[in-house]
Amino acid sequence: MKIKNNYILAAVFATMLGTTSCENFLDINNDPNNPSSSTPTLTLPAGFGELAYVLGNQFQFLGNFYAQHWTQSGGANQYCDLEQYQMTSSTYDTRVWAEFYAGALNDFKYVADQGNALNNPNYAAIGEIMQVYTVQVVTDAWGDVPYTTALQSLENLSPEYQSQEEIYTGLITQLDAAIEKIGTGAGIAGQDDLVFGGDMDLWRKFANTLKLKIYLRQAYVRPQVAEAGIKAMYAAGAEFLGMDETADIEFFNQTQNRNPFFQTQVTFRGGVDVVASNTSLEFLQTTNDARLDNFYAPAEEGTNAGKFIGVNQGVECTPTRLGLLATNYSKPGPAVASPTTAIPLISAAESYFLQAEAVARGWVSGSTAASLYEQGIRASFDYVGESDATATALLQQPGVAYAGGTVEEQVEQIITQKWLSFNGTQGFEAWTEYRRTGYPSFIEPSAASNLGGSLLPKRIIYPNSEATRNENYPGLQEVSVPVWWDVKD
Amino acid sequence: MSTLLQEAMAQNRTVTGRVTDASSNEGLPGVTVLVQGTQVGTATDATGSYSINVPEGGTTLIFSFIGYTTTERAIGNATTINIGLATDAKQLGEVVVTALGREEEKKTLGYATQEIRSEVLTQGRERSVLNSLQGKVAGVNIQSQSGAPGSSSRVVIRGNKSFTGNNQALFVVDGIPIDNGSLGANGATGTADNLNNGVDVGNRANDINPDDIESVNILKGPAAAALYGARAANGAIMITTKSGRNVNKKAEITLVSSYLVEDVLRYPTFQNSYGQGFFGAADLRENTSWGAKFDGVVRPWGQIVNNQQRIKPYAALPDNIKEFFNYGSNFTNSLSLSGGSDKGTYYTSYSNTRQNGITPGTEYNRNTLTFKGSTKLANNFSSTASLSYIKSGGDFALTGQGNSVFNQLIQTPRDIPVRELEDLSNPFNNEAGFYSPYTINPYWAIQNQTYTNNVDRLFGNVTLGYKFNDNLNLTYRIGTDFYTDRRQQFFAIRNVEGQNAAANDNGMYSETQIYNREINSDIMLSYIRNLTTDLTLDVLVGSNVRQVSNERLFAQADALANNQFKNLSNIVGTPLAYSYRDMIRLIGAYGTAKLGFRDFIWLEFTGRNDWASTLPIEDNSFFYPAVSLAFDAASAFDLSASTPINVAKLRANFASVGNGGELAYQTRSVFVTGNITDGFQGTDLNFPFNGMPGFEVSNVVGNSQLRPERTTSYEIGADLRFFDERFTIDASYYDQRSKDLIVSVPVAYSTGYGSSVLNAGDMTNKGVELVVGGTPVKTTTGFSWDISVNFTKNKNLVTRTYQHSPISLGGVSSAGLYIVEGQPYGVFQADDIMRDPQGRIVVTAVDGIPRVASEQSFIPSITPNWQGGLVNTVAYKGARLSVVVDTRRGGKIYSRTRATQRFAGTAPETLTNDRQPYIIPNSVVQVGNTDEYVENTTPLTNDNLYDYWGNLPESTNIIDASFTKLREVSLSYKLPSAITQKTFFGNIEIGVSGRNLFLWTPDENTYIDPETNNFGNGNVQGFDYSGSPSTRSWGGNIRLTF
Repeated sequence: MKIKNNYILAAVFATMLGTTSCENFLDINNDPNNPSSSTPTLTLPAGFGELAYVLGNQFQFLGNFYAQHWTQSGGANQYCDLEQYQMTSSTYDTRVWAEFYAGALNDFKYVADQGNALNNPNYAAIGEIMQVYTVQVVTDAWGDVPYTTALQSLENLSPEYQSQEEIYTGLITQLDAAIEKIGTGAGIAGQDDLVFGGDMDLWRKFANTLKLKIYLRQAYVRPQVAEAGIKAMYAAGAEFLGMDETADIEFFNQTQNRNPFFQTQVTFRGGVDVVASNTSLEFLQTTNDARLDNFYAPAEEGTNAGKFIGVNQGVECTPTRLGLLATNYSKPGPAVASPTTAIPLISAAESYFLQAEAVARGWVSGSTAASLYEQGIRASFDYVGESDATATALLQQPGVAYAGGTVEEQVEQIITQKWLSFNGTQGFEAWTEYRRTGYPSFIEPSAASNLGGSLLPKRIIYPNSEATRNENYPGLQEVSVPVWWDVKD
Repeated sequence: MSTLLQEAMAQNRTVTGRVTDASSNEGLPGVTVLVQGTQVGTATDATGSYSINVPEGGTTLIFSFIGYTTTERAIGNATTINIGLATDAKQLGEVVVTALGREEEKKTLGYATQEIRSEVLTQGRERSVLNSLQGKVAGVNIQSQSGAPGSSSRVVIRGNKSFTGNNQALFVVDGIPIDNGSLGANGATGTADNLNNGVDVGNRANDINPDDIESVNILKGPAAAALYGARAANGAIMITTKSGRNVNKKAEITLVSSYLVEDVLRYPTFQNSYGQGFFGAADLRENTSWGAKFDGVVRPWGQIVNNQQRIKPYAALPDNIKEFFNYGSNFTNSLSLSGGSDKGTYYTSYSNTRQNGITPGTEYNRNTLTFKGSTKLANNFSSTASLSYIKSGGDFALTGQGNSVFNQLIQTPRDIPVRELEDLSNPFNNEAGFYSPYTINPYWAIQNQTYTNNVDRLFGNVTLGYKFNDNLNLTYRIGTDFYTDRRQQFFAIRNVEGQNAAANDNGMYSETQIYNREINSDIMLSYIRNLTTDLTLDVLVGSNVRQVSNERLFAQADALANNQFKNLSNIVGTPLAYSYRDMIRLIGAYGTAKLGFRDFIWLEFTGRNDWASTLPIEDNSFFYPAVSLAFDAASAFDLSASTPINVAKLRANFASVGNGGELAYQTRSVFVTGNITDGFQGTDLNFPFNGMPGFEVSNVVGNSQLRPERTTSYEIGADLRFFDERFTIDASYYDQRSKDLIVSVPVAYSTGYGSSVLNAGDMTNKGVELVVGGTPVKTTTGFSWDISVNFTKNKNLVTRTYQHSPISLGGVSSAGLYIVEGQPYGVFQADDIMRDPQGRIVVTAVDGIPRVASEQSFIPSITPNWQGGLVNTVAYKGARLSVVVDTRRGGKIYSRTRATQRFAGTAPETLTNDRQPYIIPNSVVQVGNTDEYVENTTPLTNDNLYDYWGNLPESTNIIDASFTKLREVSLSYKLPSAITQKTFFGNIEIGVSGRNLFLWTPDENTYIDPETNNFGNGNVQGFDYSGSPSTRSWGGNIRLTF
């Protein structure tokens, strides 16, 4: 009652005195609901969360469908667009493109800028390394995209689209500068670093592995640049992520903290859509791969209840579909579809496979390609919780045991196993490496493809928001148009 | 003889008598009694009695009183003249309530107003005051959003003037603005998740009891409402509540009761040839009607439960959807008590409205308690106080694409007996036994997914007046309006095994508490004086202080421990909690001066300056002027004497009103709690993340240079009345330009941000309003026929958006609603069919199904071309029949009902070619990725017809929203006083009424009432999104006075 009287008095008072007390009376426009400032510690987790969410959700669906680990069941048709390779300018717009630029990238930039301003080079390094990581994902998805003139707020409302070639060159420069800053200042708090808990040595390894990944992506389009860059790294004694050093972001079995694929597909959709693609499932079965029951779950009902059974890619989105419920097939398994499944940024297995490829190409030496390849498989088994013995067993299998051969034959074997290790958790990278290398070679277009011929999607269509808001929008690029580094047939 | 006469004439004499209301025979106080041709006059006292000295030569007395027909009586030799005055409906309109609650003579106004009296307002016995105005006023678009109990209405006068801000009219009760909020169902943000989980919880202006209203006056243009400052651009609905009448100091008691029955106005049209199944064959689990042709053979249906299965004939059930809905009802009782003396009046009322919805289990209740009193005190003080307490609330059904009852129902196959699903204790009907894994039992949805709210609201004002002298008056008025709205939403746990496990759910419970308060304080000094015999002056200066504050508290348990109780402690895991508050303040200083000359020309100047807290503090002041002119040629040239023209008033005005923005906190950038979503329900990543806080750079860039929006308006009009006002024309033309609209401008996300608050938009509204009225028949026996036609054409055009970019208003990603430069407000942007350069449909070679174009198409617009209404009233003695028809032509609506009926194979169009294979006419196939297209030879077959119809791009689901409605029919009869005099009743009036009785729509709309909108009463209109159908209602009423 006291408060109310005061308000009324204030109102009366102001009415009587007119505008004399205006200034204070009207100075109430400070948002009490949101902070007007932040710190790197408070904003870094937000950046990680945004990146992990998109990689673990929209790009998880996209990548695992295009890389043929997953396919649409006949019990629904929510993801038939993915099977038909049908995409519009609204598909990956406000919740994906926006989450990369206005979410992750802008927050990592804030962390980097604040790290520099507050003289905390470790934060600056993490912020910049993560910008490089994220920009690579963005350019791998869309091709030419805004880079150096992006993230400038109202200063530049129409960021320029730079060529992917230019971006790839810039990423190396940006990454080198970031690596320089590692460990040069005070340590950082650990908990907000959702990836490594503040371990800057691991961040250095992560940055090196990322650099290796960036160079190898150019292996076909700019082999000389890739080779020289990688050689220089090895000459400088670069260390890479090793066993048990997967850079990932964990999720938690709490309200709206769960793995985003789990929340969307398993909880919200009731698990009615996504089932195993025979492309991936049959390969696992052929090689008696023990990861089968990590990547997939047995069918819950029907004639194949209890067994592992998949669907031919895209067939349930065609007129010849059977229309059976997802429960008649293998759905994504415990290693990929649990509430706490982590989202790897770069896995230990991936690091080994990258190194194996660099060796196989004859650009560097040291460990043999065969041993790095084996370590990649062992790291994958380790990550999904399979014993090393089962990995050893797999390595005996024909087609899995490292066969050597020409550079291209070796690369095929490395990439094929790398593709398997990406199953369910690194879908986007699986599709991207398929685009780069054409491996696994047994991938055929989805039965529901709208593209015709042997075409597979080569990129994501630019978002509508850019078309309507950015004066430098380069125009429609169809999904069948390859990005710059995608030169191999 | 002549001498005698002279003597008599020379003598002053006294005439006495009593003036009464002709219908009630109650004394009329305050009636002016004038001796014709003299300055001699008096007024009746509290009992209606008078006494007058008639001077020499006086032959006739003139009795006049506002609201009654002025009547003359020859005096002759009489010493007593008693007279009953008849009410005059037209005369009543002559004094109208204008901005700040001023009462002004209508003829002196230079802007358009339209008044609706209580009789016309309440004749249809509609719960909502807003809906009661439908079809009756020009220039106003009133859209009732659905037929669900307590659902909201949207009122826009002369078109939208803001891009994303409030476009609805200002509601003013007895001079004080009241809140007309309509917060979405999702209490966390106040923005409804209408896609998955929509609830229309109503809007606050509908809290008002229509029976308490004396009149509603609509101030249509900014010039009329300029004194209300910032919110004037949208026009104002001025509601004047009933006051006690000065009737013999005797209390008047009025009881009004009405009972209306409601049912569904428009059911979709269904096909009745094919039943449950898929690929042209039976499938007992399907939610679609893509099965075999009906053959009438008795077969099992549904699941096998305990080794049993139900049987039914495989035949269409044409009414299976219809049978789901109940007859709804609307029972209203309103009791008022009023009275007064020459020193004071009072009015008090209680009303109860109980609405039971057509959807089982839905209801809305409203109780209102009102008191209003006024006193005149001896020492030149006067005071008025009014207070209304309203308790309202309801039990609402969910809408949208998720588990909403409507979404389940509309997908039901044509042969499934919906009513047999009602008994949830039947093992064939419970969560596990229900026939389909793809939908849930609609009856289960109603009972186990609930949304209830409870509103407690108090609004009122106190007015103090001091009369310095006859010319100078000081008035102080303070009013407040506050309410709490407490909401509870509950989703039961579903946990079953078997085919229906996919719909398992952890359950959810949430509580939202909304608190809103508005305070207005006005002090006004008015000066009225006749400067010369020809010139009058009416001046008012004043100041207004306004404060509006909102608070919200939201907590949610998103996984329940059990289904036993509705409390936040019923939780597995951690609750989500959210709080929000905001406050805006505004100070205004205003003045107006009206000069009148010889009672036929008036010129009024108005100015107001506002200081708004929402603008940057160093630059928060803005001024706006208005000027208006009224000229009555009939009075000026005395046309009524020589021509049938009674009134020939011309109006012209100009106004430039500013709006400082109603939204707080737009001037600075902030950081916000991290939240990432893919657009589905409950799939967000929300910080804290495992206890770790995360604040992201907000995607909105604040603007420290924000300026007020400005609407400049010109208006001309005419008020013409002929043949003793039996034929009237009121016409207006207006041209409004809104500039510098404050809008959250979308910027390319590659800038690191998504939007910035800028003054960056222009929009125009040009329009014509016409009200033509007439009384074709009026006999001395008391028979009269009144007809009134209103026509509104508003042409809205978005003339500028920032960098020509479309601005999203909302909707769904595959069919969004946008503001697009060069188009009217509200353009759909939707996925479309891919076409070759010749416009032929491009299909996929393997299945013959149209491909979706890579880029979306724009489809204008939700804005209608024109609208009109027709009000017919026939009266004879105590009987009165009124018929209201209204129409709206043009405009589009997205119909999810159409999309769903196509998907589910229940739409009649899915019978094309009797579902035998056919090739889509004029379709081609693209050769590879080239520009070459060849004729399509792949037919659609039973194997993919579902896919074709179900996945047609959303642009094909956008349909013509035109309609015509028989809006209201009412018949009432007031028993003659000869009868009532023998009872203790003063008046007995009985009536029957119906609303929305018939609906006509263009042929392509076989789905819905296009007036429906399931996205709330905000700016996102034009979405039929699996919501409650609209209703028609009919019933009887009785009105008794004691």
